[in-house]
Amino acid sequence: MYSRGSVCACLILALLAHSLAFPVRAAEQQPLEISPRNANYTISVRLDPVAKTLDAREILDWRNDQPVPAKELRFHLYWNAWLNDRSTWMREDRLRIRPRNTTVRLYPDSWSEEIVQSVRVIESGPFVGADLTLSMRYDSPDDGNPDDRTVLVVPLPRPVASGESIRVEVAWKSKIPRTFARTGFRGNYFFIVQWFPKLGVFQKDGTWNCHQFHAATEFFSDYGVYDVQMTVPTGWKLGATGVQTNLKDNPDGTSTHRYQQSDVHDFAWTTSPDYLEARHRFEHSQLKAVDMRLLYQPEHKGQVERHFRATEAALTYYGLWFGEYPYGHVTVIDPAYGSGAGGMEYPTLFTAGTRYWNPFGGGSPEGVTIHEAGHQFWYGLVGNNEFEHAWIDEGLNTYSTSRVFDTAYPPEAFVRRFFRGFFPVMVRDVTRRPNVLERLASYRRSARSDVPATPTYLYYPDTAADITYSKTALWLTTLENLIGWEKFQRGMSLFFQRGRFRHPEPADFFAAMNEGAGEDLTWYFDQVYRSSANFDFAVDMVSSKELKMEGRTIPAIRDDEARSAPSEAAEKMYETSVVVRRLGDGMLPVEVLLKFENGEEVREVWDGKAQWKLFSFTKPSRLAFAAVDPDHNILLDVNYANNSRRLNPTPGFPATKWASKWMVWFQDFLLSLVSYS
Amino acid sequence: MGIWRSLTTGLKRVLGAPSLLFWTYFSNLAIALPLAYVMRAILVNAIGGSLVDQQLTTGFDLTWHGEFDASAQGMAKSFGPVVAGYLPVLDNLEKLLDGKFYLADASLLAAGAVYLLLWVFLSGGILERFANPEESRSRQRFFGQCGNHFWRLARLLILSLAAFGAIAYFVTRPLFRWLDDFTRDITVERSVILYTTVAYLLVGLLFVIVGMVVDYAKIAIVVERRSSVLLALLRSLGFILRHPLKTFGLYFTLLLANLLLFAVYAWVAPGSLQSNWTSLFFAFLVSQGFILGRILMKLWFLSSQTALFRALSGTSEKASSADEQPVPSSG
Repeated sequence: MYSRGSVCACLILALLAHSLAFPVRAAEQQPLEISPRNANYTISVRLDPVAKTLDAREILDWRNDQPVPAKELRFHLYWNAWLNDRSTWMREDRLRIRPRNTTVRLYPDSWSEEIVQSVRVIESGPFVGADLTLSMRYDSPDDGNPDDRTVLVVPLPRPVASGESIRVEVAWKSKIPRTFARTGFRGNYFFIVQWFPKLGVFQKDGTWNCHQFHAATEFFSDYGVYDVQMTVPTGWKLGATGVQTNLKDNPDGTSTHRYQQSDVHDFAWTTSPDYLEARHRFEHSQLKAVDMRLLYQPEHKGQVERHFRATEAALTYYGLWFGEYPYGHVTVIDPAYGSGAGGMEYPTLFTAGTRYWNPFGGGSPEGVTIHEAGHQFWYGLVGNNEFEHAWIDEGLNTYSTSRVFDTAYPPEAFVRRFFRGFFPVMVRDVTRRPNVLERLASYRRSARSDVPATPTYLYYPDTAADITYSKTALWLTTLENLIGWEKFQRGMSLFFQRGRFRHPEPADFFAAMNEGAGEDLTWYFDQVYRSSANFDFAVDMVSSKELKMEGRTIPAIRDDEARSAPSEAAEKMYETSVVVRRLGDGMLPVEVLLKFENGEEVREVWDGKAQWKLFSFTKPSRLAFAAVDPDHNILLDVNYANNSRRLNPTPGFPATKWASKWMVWFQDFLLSLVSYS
Repeated sequence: MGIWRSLTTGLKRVLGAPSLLFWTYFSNLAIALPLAYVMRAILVNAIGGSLVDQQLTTGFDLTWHGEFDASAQGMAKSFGPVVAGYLPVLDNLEKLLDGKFYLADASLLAAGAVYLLLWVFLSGGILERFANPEESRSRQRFFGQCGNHFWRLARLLILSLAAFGAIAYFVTRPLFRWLDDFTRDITVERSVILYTTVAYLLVGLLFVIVGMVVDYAKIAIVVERRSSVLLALLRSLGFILRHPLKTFGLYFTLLLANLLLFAVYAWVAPGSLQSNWTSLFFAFLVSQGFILGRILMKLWFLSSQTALFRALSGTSEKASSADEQPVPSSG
């Protein structure tokens, strides 16, 4: 399988020797330390674009920053998730009836593997050199699956004490998959992510947080400094986490690109001979300037500005609302058609994703670009555990994306793609706002599938994203509506500042929001996070009757008029009754609006705790309509149509209008059928 | 007779028989209207007394539709923003080429089956009229001719559906599956669009061939009083093979006219903004004008092909008097 192995090994050894000859540890090159930098990688890798393989070697400098000693190291070998169809990832993926990531068909070359060839301790400090290759083993801590090889355990000859550092060299070879979960190849396009043996996160209880790779979750690792040399064919464009610090052409027709980046928790790269490059500088009076580099497909030349504008929108509003983007550079990748690599985030690099025909106004690629650029903040800077609390980065970011989209762009128009998705037609007069409401359908179908507080890797794979992304974005928007933007933003900003370059937990988020709001919101988080409560408020009954007594109409006398001319001031009075109901088990305070035919409005707040509440008024006008949550603040309400009721319903015109349009569709349907006769 | 002459003769005969246009339009409306009424009742029920009536009056409400769709069953599932503007045409064209009509709700398919039978029933009388435009006309005679040819045309319909089904199952599906494999390493969408277009053109060409064979078989059944559907199909195939340029030329010219109609409708198709009865009425008129245009096109196909068939096969109009009974055949 690795026929060119010896050649590659020689080159890698040469590169490694070069890097070892100048023993500059990656962490030592970076002057400004803003993250713990306890997991630092120096990597050399060579791509064989024909065999679709990687031949690589890494030196890991790890410092135990926990108060207890570490007796072993645990590595993620993510690409082994696609070693066979019995891995935990593949088993869970089969539960996804509505697949999101793996719409790819499997071919013989689809499978991947990540074979660690050697692990050895490099002599440094108290550690003597030792080969640990024979003692390494696979483990499946989450489900005991013996066929899963995504976690590698390496017992150490002596524990790494608290505060001590160890230096380990790992050599490995990989077969690159045909894209799974955004990583892999298509033709001569390579998107190489989650590709190196990557250390888990050591915890204060002396255990490793190093989960198997699951179909519905992403990643978790410590911050550090990355110094990576990638050897690819000469002339191929390469994009990677960080900035390029060196480029060297080799005599064998390859070039070695060196990229470095400090204070990040992952490293991704991509290469292709087809990429074109564009650059643009983001500048804002209140924010640090950012050099934006876009690697795009030649057929998307007309969409370059759209990518930059969307990235700028994210950098601007996330920066102003939550906190500044500190790195000074970001690489935007426009992935190749069909590569399956679109819509994914990595530190200082992310993939957008567009189509050849993509009219402006339909939300793409703007939405995905904002979202993935936004992950530089929620995921990149705030490094939560995505295996266990994916809602923190995905949910917060989905909320933030929608808010930025609503701020920076006109409402998204409905787009339907025809003929295998190639031909888009946009209906400009069918739009949606707020943008986050597009999440309601997926939340509705999965509202009860899992309690959000459940560790994400235990969510049901088919509906995990609905809870992680959609429910969280909706309950965050609802919270913003309940407490107001000022308090909400203060809480989010606090969480961002405290979570930057750390691994914040859900409790940290709730504490920040409580502090930002100036009140204890536990009652709210209990319902939206610690339960699978369903929210549905409704107007159950409306009536507005003329008041009569013993067959006579009771006149109303206004105070001012009664004093002067009581007989002329008499007018009819109506007793209006409205019953609102809480049909779901979720309880939230909600506003009730009663609008009368004379234009008068009455707004009352109902605590929403009882199953129902009666609102009664005696007014000189008949009720026009009643609405519970009239401003649609509670976006978690799974059935908003029942939130309002007119005294005299008027569905006739809209029903006739849309039924007549449906009829035209059906008439055309019939005529198309006739083509078969 | 050439293509142009067939076209003009065909068009004259369609325009000279407004009653045919009426009956074919009426049959379409007669099937669609009751179901539209049911859909209206579904929508009235879904909107109820809710304030969503405002959004649906002035436009469309995607959030409401999400709720509607989540609880929709049966034919209600077919309602959505795809009924707005020009989308219905593309939606149905896509279903036609992908052979995915079977995915529609059973109630719609049942109505579609009734409509197909009704169309087949009317086809006999329509073809008689186009084949013998000089003959005396009466409603009784027209429906008599419809009945006269119905069973043979119905048998032809079964074969036709089988042929189109076979194309969908044995050609379209494997073709696009193969295309996915073939393009799996192509990183340029434009190239894949090109391949996909070619694949659709191939499927379209098969549709044209089968459609032509079936059309001329229908004409042969009516004009030559053939009782054997299989022999009619063979006769049709022979006719097309003998006159490939004229038959294909005519068909493609008519397809072009059809595309022109689609293009015009794409330009004028009413969107979703009608907020009063007057604007809704005019929007409805425009849409019905398009439906009428589509029906006219279908009749034009039949009349032009009939004219060409008669001219090139030397079948005299007298020889196929409407009152003659079909000649029994061994086929």
